[in-house]
Amino acid sequence: MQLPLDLQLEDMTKDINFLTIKNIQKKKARKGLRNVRVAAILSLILVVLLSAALFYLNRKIYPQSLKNERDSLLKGLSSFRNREVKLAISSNRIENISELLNKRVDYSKIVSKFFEKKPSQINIDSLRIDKKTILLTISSNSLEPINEFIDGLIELGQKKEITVLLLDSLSLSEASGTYSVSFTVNL
Amino acid sequence: MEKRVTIDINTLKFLYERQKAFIIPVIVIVVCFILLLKFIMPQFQALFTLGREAKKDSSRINVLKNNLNLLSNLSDSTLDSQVQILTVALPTNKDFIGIIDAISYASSVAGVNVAEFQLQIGDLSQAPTDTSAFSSISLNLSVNGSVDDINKFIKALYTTLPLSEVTSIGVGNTSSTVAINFSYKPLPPVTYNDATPIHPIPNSGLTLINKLSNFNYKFSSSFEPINSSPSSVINPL
Repeated sequence: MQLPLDLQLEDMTKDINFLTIKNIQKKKARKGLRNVRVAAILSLILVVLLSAALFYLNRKIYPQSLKNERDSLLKGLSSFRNREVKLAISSNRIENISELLNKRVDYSKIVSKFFEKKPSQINIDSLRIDKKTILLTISSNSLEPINEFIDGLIELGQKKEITVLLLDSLSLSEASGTYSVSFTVNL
Repeated sequence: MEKRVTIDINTLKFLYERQKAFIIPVIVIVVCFILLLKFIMPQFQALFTLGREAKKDSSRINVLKNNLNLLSNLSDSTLDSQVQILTVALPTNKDFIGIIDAISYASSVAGVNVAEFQLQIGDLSQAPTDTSAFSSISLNLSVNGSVDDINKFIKALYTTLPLSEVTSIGVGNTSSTVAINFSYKPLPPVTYNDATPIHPIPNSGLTLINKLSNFNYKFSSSFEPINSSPSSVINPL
């Protein structure tokens, strides 16, 4: 036989234990709190461990001794800055002077070679040396020394000392009785 | 219909009382999280850079050691005399006094008279700035003498400091002309870089200095010809 609804509800309320529900909630809350605390402690431990590892790796990878050595070497070098500057100046000058000397032509050698076999009867009327060209005018009372001089120049050409030897003119001055010869020589 | 939520001080107090046990752990977690993200992780990333830096530094230390060893073994007086002779050979500016001295010396050695000369010095007020190219002072000389004398003059000038370059020679019956260029070059600014190895003067450089020291050059007040008394000509080697 079924009881009326109001009587059924009365029986149900008698069965509900409010104290137990409260305990479960409290237990849940305590558990939650404990988890949060554990997480906090673990995070703290993690941070501390990572920081210690970081410190250790920092020291291991870049030891203080390396820094100290570098600093002391830099300090030592700073007292020799003057020498460093002088050495830099010397190196710079050496480089430039070498370049300058390499492109410099010693004309005195060329002139010496040119007139090495000049017969004494020959007069040099004019000489113009410009970069790699020599314009020369000589004169003599006889053709023989002129011929001798030309032979000497041909010899220089054979030795590759000169590249071009041009006889520009050969003239005779009746008044003075001298022969005049003009050359163009390329070095 | 819009629901209105009112939070008064009592509600906050109630909430605080109820959740206060959670506040400190949560703050700790948040702080740790921030520390991890903002400081620790970047520091770990920086370790790689530090590693590279340490590697670079250890090779730099070797360079520094070599540099220090080299510089400490150099003699100041040797360096001074080397610099002096090299800067006399190739001046850093318009050394017109050196030029006049060189011509005077070469003419006296050759026994020629310099009748007249024209020196194109240019602006002396401004220091030359181009350190990459050679600059030069051009000079045209009228010299009285035979071809042999002119040749002696050129020869003497060739072995006289400051270094010069004869560009043209004109020998006539009455007078001769010689065109000469005296080069100079400003020094580039010296920059310090500790990571760059310093090299000593190479043997070719020492040979050059030795060669230049045998040239004629005026040091202090007297002009010193080749193989003169060594007291006033400084031999840097």
